[in-house]
Amino acid sequence: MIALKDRSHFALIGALSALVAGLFLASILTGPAGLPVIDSLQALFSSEPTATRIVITEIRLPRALLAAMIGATLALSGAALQGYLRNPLAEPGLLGITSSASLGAVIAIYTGLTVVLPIALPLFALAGAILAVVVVRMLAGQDASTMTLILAGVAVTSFAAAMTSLALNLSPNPFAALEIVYWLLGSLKDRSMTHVWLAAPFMLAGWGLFALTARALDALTLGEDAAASLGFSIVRVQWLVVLATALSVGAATSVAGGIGFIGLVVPHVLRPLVSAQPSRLLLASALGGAATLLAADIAVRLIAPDRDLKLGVLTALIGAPFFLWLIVKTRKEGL
Amino acid sequence: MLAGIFHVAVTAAGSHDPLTGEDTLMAGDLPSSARQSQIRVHPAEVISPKPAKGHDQQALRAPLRFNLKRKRSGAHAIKTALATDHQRQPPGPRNGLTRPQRIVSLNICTDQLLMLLVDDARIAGVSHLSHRDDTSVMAERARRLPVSYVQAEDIYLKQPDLVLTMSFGTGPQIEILRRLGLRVEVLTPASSFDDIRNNLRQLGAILGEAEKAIDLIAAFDARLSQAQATFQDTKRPVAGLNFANGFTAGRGTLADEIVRAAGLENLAGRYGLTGNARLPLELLVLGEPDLIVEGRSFDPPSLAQMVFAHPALDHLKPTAGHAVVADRNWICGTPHVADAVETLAALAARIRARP
Repeated sequence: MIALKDRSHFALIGALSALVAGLFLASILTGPAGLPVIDSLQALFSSEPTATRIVITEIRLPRALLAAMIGATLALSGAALQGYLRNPLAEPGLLGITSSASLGAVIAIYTGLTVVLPIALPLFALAGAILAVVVVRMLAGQDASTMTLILAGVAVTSFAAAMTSLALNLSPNPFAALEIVYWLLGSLKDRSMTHVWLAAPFMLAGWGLFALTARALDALTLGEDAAASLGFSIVRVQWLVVLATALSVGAATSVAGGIGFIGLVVPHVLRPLVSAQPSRLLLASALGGAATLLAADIAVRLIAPDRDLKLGVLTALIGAPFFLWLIVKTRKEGL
Repeated sequence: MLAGIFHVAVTAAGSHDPLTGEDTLMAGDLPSSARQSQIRVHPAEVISPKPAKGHDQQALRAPLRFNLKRKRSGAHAIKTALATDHQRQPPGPRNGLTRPQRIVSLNICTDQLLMLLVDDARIAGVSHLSHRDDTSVMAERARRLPVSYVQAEDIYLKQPDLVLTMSFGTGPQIEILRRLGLRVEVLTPASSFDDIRNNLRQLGAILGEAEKAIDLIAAFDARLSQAQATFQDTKRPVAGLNFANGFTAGRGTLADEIVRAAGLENLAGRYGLTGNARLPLELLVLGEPDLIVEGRSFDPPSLAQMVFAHPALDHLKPTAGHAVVADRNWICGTPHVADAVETLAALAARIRARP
């Protein structure tokens, strides 16, 4: 029985990995220039500095890498937060973590700090994210009910979004006010390898910390007391989750803006496929999230190639109805 | 560049003008009535301007009200120097023309046209952007003039006999001012050299400075033909215009005409782009332009201008020339765009000389 479960889990991971690989390739082959497939693939591995190679390696590759990593980050943190808080509605976007990270990034960029110190971008976003987690936790209190937690998240989200808008409206740069949309909805347009190098280390570190929580999350399904009696330190798990979320979501938001709902939808879709086991959900969600955001980013380029449609619009189109359905479902289950 | 900036604004946020901070939140579409009453320039009108009767009366009425107000409340004694000047020479028809004496301009472009045509004494307010060196070529002079904010009450309290603005980024305040009996003239942003000439002629007529306008146009045309004399039409280096947010200027824009007047070919034309349009970074790179022209970044950074710093462009810059044209040089359709033409023509000459 266990062997069968393992085999189906490996099959799931294999299928998701193949999906991510396929979408990654599709992302590299998608763009307004309409380059021939053969040329694009050759350019990826050649060292000749042709214009095609520049387009593929400097414009499309970073975009695909960021989509995969950010999607993985958001879904992974959603899965971990849902496991840790034992709350089906927990997600970085809904808890205000994304919007607070945006606020941190906005402060770092529009004060001109990132010009002299590029690393300030992920660091400020990280600080914003930590602050959000701490505040939500304080507002909601220990053993918070689903609704209190969501309400605390709503409060933090509105506050951070308002402060972001304020900061951008006050910026003397004439373009800043228009960029409120980007920080609230997210986009991967014209990102570069610089952004990848800036954000990737933080995201990878966050993933590492999430992996450390896997077994404790399994134990937590039995309740905090049971987990503690099994030898897991609840405080340690809490700090691991907080730090991992802040590191990875902070870095992701700092280079792509606030992309919502992936952390909510992906773990929920995959949960039945991993027999609701939190440790297995982590890896599956990471892959699922990567695939989802890659697909969304391909879609925005295909749907409106000349409009710079924001990613958050697309994820919300799918995510918001899903969120409503979840609310109805949790109410029926009397949570 | 100017076109680029405007363009971004239009596409991204309706009719919001990113260059007029205050407008940001209140600017809706231009009220339809204001749009209708925009003055269309017909050559005949330009040569012998006959202000509408209604305008004439308004121009006479407004200063009268101003005087009453001044007597009643000293608090509103605005700009004594201006007021005395104005009392010395009561406005009114002179040589058959109306010569407004307390003019408030709400738009950076009408500010500059106005300053070119009249003395400081007749200007009661310019937009706050005119005071900034990065957006205005005439900032030094503009800083000697008071700022008028776009709120209707601020404008009304200045009791102008003429309010000038562009049909862009204007909000409901124009309607309010008209209802309050002020004379408001709305010019159309220039998208060609001809528009610049027309705007100068039209404004010259409105201000009673028709001759000055003709002189300015002649000087402008002389500079243009001088720049054009530096090249033959045989070899035109390709220029890629890379504006904030990845926009470029295609056919039918002022920036396009500036580029072509400088002896360059606009890359946007090769992709068949018209008006202000997005030029994806990919296409800019694949177009392998001889010259990349971009706007100057404003000092506090914004994402919109980070596209100038994209590493993909670093690969192009060693082979392509690279020019930064200060936004203020082509942000407005004024004779100052000749500066941009001359700068670009000099760069084009250098590229043409390359083996």
